Amino acid sequence: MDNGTEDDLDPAVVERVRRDLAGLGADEASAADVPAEVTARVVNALRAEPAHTVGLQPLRRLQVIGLVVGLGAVAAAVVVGAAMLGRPDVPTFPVGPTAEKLTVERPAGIPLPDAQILELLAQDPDYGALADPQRRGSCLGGLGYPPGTAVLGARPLDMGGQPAVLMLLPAQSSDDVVAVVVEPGCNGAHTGLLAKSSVTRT
Amino acid sequence: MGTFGDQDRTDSELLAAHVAGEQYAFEELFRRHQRQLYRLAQLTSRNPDDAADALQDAMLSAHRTAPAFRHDAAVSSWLYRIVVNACLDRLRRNKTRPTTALLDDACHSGDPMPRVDTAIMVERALMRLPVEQRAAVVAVDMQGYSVAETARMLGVAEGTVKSRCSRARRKLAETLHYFAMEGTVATSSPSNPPVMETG
Repeated sequence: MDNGTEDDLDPAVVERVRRDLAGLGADEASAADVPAEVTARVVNALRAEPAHTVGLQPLRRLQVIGLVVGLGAVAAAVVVGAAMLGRPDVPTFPVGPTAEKLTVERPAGIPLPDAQILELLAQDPDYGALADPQRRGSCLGGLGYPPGTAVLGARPLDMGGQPAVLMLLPAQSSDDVVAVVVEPGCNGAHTGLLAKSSVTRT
Repeated sequence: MGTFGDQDRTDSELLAAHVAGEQYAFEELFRRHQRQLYRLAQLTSRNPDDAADALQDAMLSAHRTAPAFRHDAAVSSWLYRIVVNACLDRLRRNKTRPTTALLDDACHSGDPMPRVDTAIMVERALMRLPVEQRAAVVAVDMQGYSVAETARMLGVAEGTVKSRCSRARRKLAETLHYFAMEGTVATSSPSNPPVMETG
């Protein structure tokens, strides 16, 4: 990894400086106390945040539609099942939508089916508002990904009328990818994470 | 605030509790690491106000994105990275703002320092550097970012990052050598500072 060692100093001196810097980065015990007003400011801001905001976001329009469709399918199944129980003969049903198609197969919150998400792996990424590599790197850093994390696929997305960017990122298992949807202004300090899910590669 | 026995929970347990909806778990995590987090913010910010702003932004970001954390690194490392990213982002966005060196570049200008731990000496030496050099060397040498990544985050050319790191290391080497000499040579005194080696 290129780490800029172009110094004309004695390499041993440079090495010592770099070692001391790395040590400082890991030496919590020597860090000074934080001014009380700074701590209070951060704590107050954290307390103003709802607990686990990502999971408690109100349902968006598409999610509400999906929920209604899903509940309707369940209700229809209950009615049909009750009718079947009352019939003496073995019923024959026309071939209709399978459970796989009735089930909302896409990850919760991401308005694309799994198959369409995975198609992005074979396409050139369209980063949309995150085309700038600096901003994209900052966004990924804010999401907790280390520098240099490869984006496996990307495209702009509409999240309930709100512009967003979908990115596919490596998962812990090579059989999966992580799909994240972020606001166009995603950066290291404010990612604007809208949805996140794990998708299994087929 | 917090539950009894928070000090017994690991960082990962606190983060998991936060993701599960426990209200004060993340606050406890912040309190546990706030000194180092604020140190990193100060080292990569123009002034204490900017450092406090960036720290708040970073903690709010971490609070919100915690469910996306993959536990492929220590929770503390993840928090440090978010803070440094937030600060470098702020520097990149405010590139045109004038900066002033915190202290005279003649760092061994007769300011006597008592014998202190190496970490504190290094920190003090860092704070004498202009923020651009500090940020570059903190990103590359302390956080392990590559020159290319640091250049992207700061919005400058890779050559600029390399030269900033080089100048910063040179100045740090001079300063630390001075303090190291004072720490080991018992007869040195403020009125008779040790002679600095150069080069």
